[in-house]
Amino acid sequence: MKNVKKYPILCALLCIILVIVVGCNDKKKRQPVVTTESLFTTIAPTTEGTTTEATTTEVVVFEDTGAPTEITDYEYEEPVGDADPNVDIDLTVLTPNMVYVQVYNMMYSAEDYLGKTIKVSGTYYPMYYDVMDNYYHYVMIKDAQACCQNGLEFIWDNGTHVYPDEYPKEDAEIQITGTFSSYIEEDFEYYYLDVDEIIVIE
Amino acid sequence: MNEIIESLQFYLEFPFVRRALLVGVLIAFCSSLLGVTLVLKRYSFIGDGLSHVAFAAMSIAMVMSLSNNMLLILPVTIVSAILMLKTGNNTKINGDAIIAMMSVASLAIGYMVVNKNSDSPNVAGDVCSTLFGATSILTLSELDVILCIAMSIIVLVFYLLFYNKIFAVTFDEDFAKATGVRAGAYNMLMAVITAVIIVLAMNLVGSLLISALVIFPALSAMRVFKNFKAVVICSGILSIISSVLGLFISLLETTPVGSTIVVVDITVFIIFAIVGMFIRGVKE
Repeated sequence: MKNVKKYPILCALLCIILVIVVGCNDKKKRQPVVTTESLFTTIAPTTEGTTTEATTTEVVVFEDTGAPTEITDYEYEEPVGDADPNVDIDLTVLTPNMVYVQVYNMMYSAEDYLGKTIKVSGTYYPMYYDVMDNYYHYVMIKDAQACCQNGLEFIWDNGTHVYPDEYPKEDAEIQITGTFSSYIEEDFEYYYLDVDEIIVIE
Repeated sequence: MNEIIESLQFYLEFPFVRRALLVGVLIAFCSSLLGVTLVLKRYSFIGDGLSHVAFAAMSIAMVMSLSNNMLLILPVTIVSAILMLKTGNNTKINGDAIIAMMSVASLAIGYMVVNKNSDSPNVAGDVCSTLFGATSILTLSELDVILCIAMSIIVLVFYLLFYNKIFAVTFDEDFAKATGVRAGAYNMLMAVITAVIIVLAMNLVGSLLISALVIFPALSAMRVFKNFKAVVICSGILSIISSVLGLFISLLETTPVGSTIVVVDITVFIIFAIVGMFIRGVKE
C-alpha cells in the first residue's frame, strides 16, 4: 500500500499491462461442419460466440412407423418462444440449466411425470450392456456450464429398430417427443421416453 | 420488462423453482442473522471452514454409499463448529489458524477421497457443482425443504428469545460471564446452529461461496447502520433481496445460481458503502 502512494504512475502502468496481458484472448471461432451419412445428410448451424443464428438445416424426421420417410428443411432457432401445446412438458423452450434441472427432477420424482408427453433436445448417446446383450439409447442434457449432465433413456418403437443403421450418429443433436414411461428389468424400475418422433439436428 | 415478467411467471410455474425460492430466502435470512454475530466476533471465515469440512464429510459419505449423506455430514460439521468456535483465547492455536487449518485440510482430503474412490463418470462436474452451487438449489427434495423450514424456524426463535443474551455475548463475552450469562452454552448453541445453516447453505451457493452469504449482508448493513438491532434487521432484508434477485437473474441469464447471488451481494455492498460515505459526509 505504501508503494502505491509512492509510485502511483508505476503501479497504474503495471495494472494496465496486467489487464492487457490477461485480457488478450485468442478466441477460436467454431467452423461449420458438413457431414455426409448413408441415411441422412445434415449441416451444422454456424455459431459465433454464444449466439446462434437461425440457419436452414436438412434433417431426417424419424416417424414412429419405422424407417426414414422424408427429408424436410428444419430451421434451427434459439430456445425461445411459447411451449409446444401438443406436449405436456416442452423442454426445448427452456434454458440449458432449466432443462438439466427439469430432467433431474423427472428422474427423482418420476411418479409425478408418468404418462406425460415430453419434448426434449440433447445429444444422442448409445450404450451397450453386455449382461443384457442389448443397446440402450439416451438423450444427454448438459447444464449451461457443461459441468453436469443427465441422460434420459428412450425406446423407439419398442426397440424394433436396428442399431446403428437406423439410429442417428453418436453425439448427434436430436429432438425427441415421447411419453414418459417405465419398465422393470432385473428387478429394478427404469424410466424412459416412449418415442413418438425423433428429429436429428447436427 | 414485460418479457422478463412473463419469463419469471413461466419459471415460477415449475415446482422446483418455487422450492428453490422458498429455501433460498430462508437460508439467506438465517445466514445473515448468524453473520452479524460471526462478523462482530471476528469469525467471518468460519463459514468457509465449516463448508469445507462438510465437503470432506460429503465426499466420505458418497464413498461409503450412505443412504442419507446428512447422517455423516451434520454430526461432523457440528463437531468441527464446536472445535473452531471454542478455541478462542488462551489456546495454543488461535481461532483464525484453526479455521484455516481445518478448511484447507478438509478440502484436500475431500477432493482426494472423491478422486480415488468415486464411481461417478463425471467427478470434476460433481465436485464443481458442490463447490460452486451451479444448480444444486434447483434440485432439492421435499425433505430438504422441510428441513430448511424447520431449521429456519429454530434459528428465528433462538434469535427472538435470546436476543439480549446474544447481544451481550457478541460484544463482551467476559462481561456477560461476569453478569451470570452462560456464555459457554450460548457459544455452543451458536456453533451448532451455524454448522446446520452452513450445511444447508451449501445447496444454495456451494462450499466455496458460503462466506459471502454470511458476511456480505452484515457488512453492507454496517456501512449505514451503527445500531445492533438495525444491523440485524437490515442484513436480513438485504440477504433476502440478494438471494431472490440472484436466483431470478440466474434463471433468466443462465448463470450459476451461487455466483450470481454473490455478485448481487457484492453490488449491494458497494451501494451501501457509497450510501454510508454519503451519510457520513453529510453528518460532518
